[in-house]
Amino acid sequence: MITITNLSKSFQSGGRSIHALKNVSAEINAGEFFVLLGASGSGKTTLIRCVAGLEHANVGEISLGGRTVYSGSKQIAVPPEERDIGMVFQSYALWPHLTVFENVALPLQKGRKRLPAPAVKARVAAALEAVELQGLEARPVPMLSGGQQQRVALARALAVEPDALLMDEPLSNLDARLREKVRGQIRDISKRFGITVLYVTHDQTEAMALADRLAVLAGGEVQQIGRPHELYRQPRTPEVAEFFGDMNWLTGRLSRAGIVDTAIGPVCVDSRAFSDGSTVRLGIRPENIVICADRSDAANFFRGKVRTVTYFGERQSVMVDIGTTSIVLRTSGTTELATSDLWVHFPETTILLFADAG
Amino acid sequence: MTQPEIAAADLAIASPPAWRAVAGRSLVPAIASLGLVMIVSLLASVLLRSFGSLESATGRAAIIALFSDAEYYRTLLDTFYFALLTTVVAMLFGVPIAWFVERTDLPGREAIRVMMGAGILIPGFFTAMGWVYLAHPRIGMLNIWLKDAGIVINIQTLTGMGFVQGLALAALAFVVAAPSLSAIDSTLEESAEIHGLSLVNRFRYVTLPLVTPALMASALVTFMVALAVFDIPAVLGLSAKILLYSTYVYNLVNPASAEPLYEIAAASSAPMLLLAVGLSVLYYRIIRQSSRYQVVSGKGYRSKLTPLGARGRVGGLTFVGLYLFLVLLLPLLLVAWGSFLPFFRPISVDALRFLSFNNYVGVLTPSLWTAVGHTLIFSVVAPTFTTIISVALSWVILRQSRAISRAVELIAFLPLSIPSVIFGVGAITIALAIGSFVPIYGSLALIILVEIVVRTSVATRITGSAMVQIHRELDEAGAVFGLSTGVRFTRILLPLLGPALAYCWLFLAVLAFRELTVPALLVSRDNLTVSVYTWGLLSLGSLGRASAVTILVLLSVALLGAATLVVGRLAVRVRAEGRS
Repeated sequence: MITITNLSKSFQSGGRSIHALKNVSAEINAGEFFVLLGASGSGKTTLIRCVAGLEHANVGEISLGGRTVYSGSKQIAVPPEERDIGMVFQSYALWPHLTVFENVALPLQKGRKRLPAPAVKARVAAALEAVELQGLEARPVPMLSGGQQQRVALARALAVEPDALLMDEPLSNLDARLREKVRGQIRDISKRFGITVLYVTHDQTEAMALADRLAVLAGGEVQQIGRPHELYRQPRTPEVAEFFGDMNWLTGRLSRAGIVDTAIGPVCVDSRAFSDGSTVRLGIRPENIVICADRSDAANFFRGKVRTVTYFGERQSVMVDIGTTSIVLRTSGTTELATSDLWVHFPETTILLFADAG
Repeated sequence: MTQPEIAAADLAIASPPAWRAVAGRSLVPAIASLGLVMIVSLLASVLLRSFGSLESATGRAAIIALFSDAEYYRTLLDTFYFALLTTVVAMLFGVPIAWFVERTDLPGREAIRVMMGAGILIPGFFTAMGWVYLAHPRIGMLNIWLKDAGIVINIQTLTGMGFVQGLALAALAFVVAAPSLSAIDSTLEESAEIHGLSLVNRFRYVTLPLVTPALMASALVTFMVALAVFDIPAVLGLSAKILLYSTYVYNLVNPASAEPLYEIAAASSAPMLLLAVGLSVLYYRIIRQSSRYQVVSGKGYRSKLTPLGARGRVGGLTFVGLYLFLVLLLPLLLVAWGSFLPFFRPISVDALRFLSFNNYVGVLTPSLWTAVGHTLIFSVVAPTFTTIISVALSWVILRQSRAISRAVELIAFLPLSIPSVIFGVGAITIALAIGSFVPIYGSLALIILVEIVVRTSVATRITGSAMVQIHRELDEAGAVFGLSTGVRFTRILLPLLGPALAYCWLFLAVLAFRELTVPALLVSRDNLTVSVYTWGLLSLGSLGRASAVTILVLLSVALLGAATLVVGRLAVRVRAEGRS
C-alpha cells in the first residue's frame, strides 16, 4: 500500500520557481497495479523518485505499507536504502560488472534483509524462473539482449519481495513488438506475486493495458484518477480526454436543454451538468462516429463529403467535411468507402461535454 | 510553503542523493578541499611574495630592476616567439595527422592513434638530445657532413628550439583535436552535398565552422604549454645562453654562482600567472562553443570516412612516417648511437669500432642508484595522491550543485594552464617561509607535493570522464535495493571505476617518471631524480653517459607506457559496458 498525501515539490531554476509537483494525492491499494500517466515534464518521474526516496518533496507525506517514509511537516525523510521497495529503472541500471545471478543476488546478500546463502540461491532461482531466464545465471549482463536485461531488472526487483514495486518507463528501451509481449508478462507476474506496483509511463496504450487504476498527471498536478474505462469514457477535462486518443472538438451554445448550436448545426447532447445559455465544448472520438448510407430518425445525423482517407489496414481514418468544418472518423479497414457523399452519425451518449474555457 | 520547508527543500536540491554515498558529509569533500587548498596556496604564495617584496626598500629596488631590465622583456618576447612557432609546427603536423586518423581510411590508423597518444609520454629531453646530435653547430652530424659546403644548421637557436618543441607537442595538438574531428557527424557534410553545395562551399560553410573551435582549442593548449615548457629550452637553449621564461626562472632559483633570487623569480612569474589565467578563460569559452556543436551532432550520429585512394594513402603514410621519423626514430637512433660512443661522431661504418658499453657501465654509480630510488618513490607516491584527490574533485564537480561545481572546476583546472614553474616557485616560497618549523626545502617531499598539484587537472579530467560515464541510476539502484553507502562504494563504484583509476595512476606515473621541470627547479642533493641526474650529465658535457641513462629511461617509459595502454583499453571497455 502506498499513500501519497498533498505532495508538493518546487525548485529554483534561473531565478524562477518551478513546480514539479503540486499538491499530489493518491492512494494505491495493496496488490494494485497503479499507473502514473503523463507527458514528459508532467512530474510523473519526479513523483516515483519521491516514492523511492531518490528525491525529496518540500511538503506533504508519503507512506509505504503504513510506515511514513516522508513527511515535510514532521521532517521525516527515510533514505531509499531503508525503504521496503524494489525498482525497475528506465535504463535498467543493471550493474555491468556482475553476472545475471550476482545482479539479482546482491540486494539479498548485502541489502536490507540479508539472507543466508542457500536462501539467496532459492530466491534468485525463483525470480529468474518467473521471468523465464533460467540457465543464464552466469552470463555477464552486458551480454544479454535488451529484452533479457529488462527481465533481469524485473527479477532483481521481484527477488527482494518489496512492499512496493516501482517501475519507471521500464519498456521504453524495447522495440514495439517486444514491448507488447513484455507488457503482458509484467502484468501477469505482478498479479501472480500479488505485488503493489507503481508504474510510470507516457504511453496511454501501455497505461490502459496494465493499470487497475491510473492517474493522469499534467504540469505536476493530478488531472484525474480512475479505472481505465472511467478515464476513457468520462474524462474530467479536455486534456485527459485527448490523452486517450484523438478528438474532434466543436464549440457551441447550449440553446435549450439538450441542444447545442454548433458550426455544423444543432447537436443533441446529454447536458444535465450545464445550464442553458452556457458555452460548451463537445468532444467526439473518431472511433465513436458512425458512417451511414442513409439517415434514421435518431438525432445527430450530418451530411458530409469525404476529403481524405488514410488507410492503416485494420482501420482507416477518414476526414469528412461537414459544411466548412472538418471532422475525423475511424472505421474498419475491411470495407472500402463506396461514395464520397455520406451521412455521419454521432451517438448522443458518446459525446463528451466540457465547459468552454474560452 | 513555510520558511523551514523551503530551506529544507533548498538543501535537498543542493545535495543530490546520488553518490552521496561515497561522499556525503564524509571524507570526499575534505580530500577535494585539500587539493584545492594546495593549488590555491602555491599560486597565492607567488603573488604574495611578489607584492611582499614591495614593502622593503631593497625588495622594491629589486622589483624595479627586474621590470626595467631589457633582458626580462627580451626573454618574454623570445618566449612568445618560441611558443608561437611551436604552435604552428605542432599544428602543421598534429592536425593533418588527426584528420588522417579520424576522418579517412588511411591504413594503420589505430596504430597511429596509439603512437600519437603515447607521444605525450616521451620525455622532451630525449627529443632535444637527439636533435643536439643531429644539428649541434659543432658536433651535430648534419653540420659535420655539411662542413665542406659551408652550411651550418644550428638547432641551438630560438627557431631551432621552436621547431623541435613543435615536433614534440604535435602529439598534444593531435590528442586535443582528434576527438572533435571524429565527433563530426558526416551526415552534416552529406546533407550540404545533397543540397547542392560544392566541395569548396561545403568545407567553407559546414566543415570549417564545425572544426574551428576544436582547432582553436588545440592551438591554444599547445601555445599555453609551449609558453612554460622546460625540457627542450633547457637542453637546447641554456648552454647557448638563449633564455625563455622557464629557463630564466630556473637560472634565478638555481644560479651557477651567487645567491638565488627567489623574490625576483616570484615577481617575474606574476605576469605569466595572469596571462595563463586569461588564456584559460579563453580556452573555456572555446570549449563551451565546441561542445555546443557536439550536442547538435548527438543524435543519429554517424561518421563516414573519406576514401583516400591509392595516392592519398601513400601521401598520408609518408606524412605520418616523416613525422614519426623526425620526432622519434631519428632522435632514438642518434641517442642510442651516442650512448655507445665515448665521444660523439656521425653514424658510419668507420665509427663502429668505437662502440662499447662503457657509458652504461660507467653510469652505474651509487648516485644513479640513489636517483633511481628517488624517482621510484616520486613516481609511485605522487600519482597515488593525485589520483585520490582527483577522484574527490571529480565527485564534487559532477555531483554537487552548479555553483560549487563551477568554482571547484575552475580551480582544479588551473594547473592545466599555469606553468609548473610557477607552482615550483610557489612551493619554494612556502618551503622557505615554513623552513624553521618543517624542513621541507630541498626534500623529495617538496617535489612530490608540487607534482601532485601540477598533475591534478590531467588526473581530474581522466577520472571525471570515467565517472560521468557511470550512469547515476547504477548507484540509485543500489540505494533502492537497500545497499548501504559503503557497500555501494566497494561493490559498485570501485569495480566500475577501478580500471580508469589504474589507467589514471599509470599515466601519471609515467609522466612523473620522466618529469624534469619540477625536480630540476627544486633540485638539491637530497632529492635528485634520474631525469635531473641525466640533465646534470648533459650540462657537464657527458653526452655519452647522458645518452645511456636516457636510453634506459626510455626503455622503462616504453614498458610503463605499454602497461598504461593495456589498462586504458580495459577502462574503456568497462566504461562502454557501464553505459549499456
